[in-house]
Amino acid sequence: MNNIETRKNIAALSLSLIILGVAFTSCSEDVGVTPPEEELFTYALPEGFPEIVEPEDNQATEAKVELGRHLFYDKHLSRNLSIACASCHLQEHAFSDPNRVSVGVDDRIGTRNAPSLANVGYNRSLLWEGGVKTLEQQAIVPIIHPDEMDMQTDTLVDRLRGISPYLALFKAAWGDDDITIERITKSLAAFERTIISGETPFDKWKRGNETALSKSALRGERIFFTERGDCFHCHGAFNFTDNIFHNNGLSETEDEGRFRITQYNLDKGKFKTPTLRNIEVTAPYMHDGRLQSLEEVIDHYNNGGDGHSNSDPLIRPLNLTEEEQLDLLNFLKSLTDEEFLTRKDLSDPWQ
Amino acid sequence: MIYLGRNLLYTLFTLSITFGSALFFSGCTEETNPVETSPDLQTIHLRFAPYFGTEPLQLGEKYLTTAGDTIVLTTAMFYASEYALVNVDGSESTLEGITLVDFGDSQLSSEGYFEVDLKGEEGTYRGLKFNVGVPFDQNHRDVSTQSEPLGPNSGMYWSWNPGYIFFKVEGRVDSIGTPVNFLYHTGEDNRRKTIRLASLNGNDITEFVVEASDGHTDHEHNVFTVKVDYSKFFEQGVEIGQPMQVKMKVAERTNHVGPKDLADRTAANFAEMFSWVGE
Ligand code: HEC
Ligand code: HEC
Repeated sequence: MNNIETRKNIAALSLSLIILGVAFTSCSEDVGVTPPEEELFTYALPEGFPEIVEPEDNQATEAKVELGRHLFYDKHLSRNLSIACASCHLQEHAFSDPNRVSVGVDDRIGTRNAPSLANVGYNRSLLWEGGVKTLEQQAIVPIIHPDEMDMQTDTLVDRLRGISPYLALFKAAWGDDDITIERITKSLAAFERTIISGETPFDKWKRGNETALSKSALRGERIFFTERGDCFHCHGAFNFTDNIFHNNGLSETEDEGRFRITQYNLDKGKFKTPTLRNIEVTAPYMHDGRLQSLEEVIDHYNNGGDGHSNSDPLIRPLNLTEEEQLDLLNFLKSLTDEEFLTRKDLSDPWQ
Repeated sequence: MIYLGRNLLYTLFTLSITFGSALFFSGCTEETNPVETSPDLQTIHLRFAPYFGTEPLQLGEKYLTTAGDTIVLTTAMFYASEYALVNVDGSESTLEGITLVDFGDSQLSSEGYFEVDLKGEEGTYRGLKFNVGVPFDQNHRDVSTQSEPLGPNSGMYWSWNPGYIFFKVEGRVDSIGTPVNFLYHTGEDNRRKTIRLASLNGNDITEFVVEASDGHTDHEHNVFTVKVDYSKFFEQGVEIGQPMQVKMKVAERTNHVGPKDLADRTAANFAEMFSWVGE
């Protein structure tokens, strides 16, 4: 019965041989092609940071990252040319959004606050409820979302074909100037993996510079990394996140977080732990931007949260003194990587 | 091909393997499908005919559900994939293709059906099988590598939870006052349903024949109809023994991935809607 399969197999094999002789055509041409080693992108990793893991079919090159950066800062990606990725992920805010929730084309209001993209290449899952696994797959989300860029992918491809700088950029990145949505999302993802931040006073202190942190910040560090504050259980490791989902005691809203994906009652109100790197410049806070300042965040934890039924057991009244709260605040402020907020290789290439 | 720099032979070899397997496994099979050009395959015209009970279904018309709700459907779409003809000995011959069946007016023939052209070998068969949904592998592949009927512009893609909506049933209860809308968007791998259809005559299965068309591609040959009865979608509610109560129960009006009980129910109900009309 399976002679259809067999015939297909043979046909596929002979086709693969034919393809060797003729020009390669669309479709899977980019899949599995490994650039030569000397063209691979070298990530400038801060001391102590693990390697960036790239998907096998999208290894970064300088040219691909450069193309991705141009796309990231380009308003042509939105239906009415009003919004770029960078409109909601601003470098001076560590690639997060100072708006409480996102504002898309025609001023359409979203439901969530755009998180910082610092070190996003290390995240095991993406979006607040973690439904998306790769940056390649994430990149399509804002493009087609009606409340964000509201774009048809075919329209986008046609549009970019008419913008001359892209012909050279695509050719350099992909070998020819064919523009496809697959190349667009892959290039964006390659750029995003280069958004790496790890040069903070805290990092310098860790590497042995004893004066990099103030006395108060040092006391805050002890609160953060001990049972006194218990922050490190969730915001631990080099990127201040355990990369999993918790309920940190925010009062319930319609947004059910992780539950939306799993439908497990115990996942109601759980969200992915965000990084706290550059937290000073990423206000407002939490998935819906409900807290305006770090003082409010510290109040929230110090009070033991708002009493959500799924609240994590670690969330409990901490009874921090005024001084301890200030110390914790100063510690959080030592997580800002000033250089990262203006670094040229991450900034708008169209200017 | 861009980087044919260093070890040309080795690269060519790797490429030939990459392409061989890429063609075989990826969405490319849809575009470069060698089966379609094969001369001994026949075109099978499969017609999905939408009904509500005994009446042909038209979007925008009123129908009465088991629970007594007068409803209007505004969207009725589903993916059919992994088609197979069931041979007389019970084995199956797979047919290539994945279809987004859309009962929207503009998609229908003047006789009110949605036609899918499949390719299969001539012969005698006892049934047809297909899945409502998208095969696992295609359901989770990077959407930007996919094209119609899949892909980011299909209107069926859940970008926040990568995968496809297998079927959409949307509409409203036709009543005075505040409008009551319903929207069932069901997907996820565990809700992919296999539909097995055969022509029963009492307990016996009536076999059917896919004929050689002798080069004719007209619509006289190998036309088979499957009835898709949307009244069945509303016969069973979340609570066993109770019909779907769109008007009365908020909990039976809307689902995406969840609520789980309703999403599971809609998937089970959807699988009940199909029956074989045949030639
Ligand atoms: C209209 C505002 C807006 C635009 C434009 C936008 N984003 Fe976002 N971005 C958000 C919001 C809001 C979230 C959080 C959404 C959620 O979790 O549901 C987000 C989340 C993300 C995440 C997930 C981060 C994580 O750690 O989970 C990535 C990656 C991302 N965006 C990249 C991009 C890229 C690339 C573009 C351009 C193609 C883009 N964004 C355009 C608002 C926006
Ligand atoms: C049980 C795990 C857990 C513990 C313990 C925890 N957090 Fe969080 N934290 C989270 C989660 C999850 C979020 C995101 C919640 C949301 O948006 O709904 C979050 C959000 C934050 C944010 C906002 C980040 C942003 O980008 O919006 C800050 C700041 C923060 N936490 C600081 C702390 C501090 C300081 C402590 C210790 C006092 C602490 N957290 C303890 C899990 C935890």
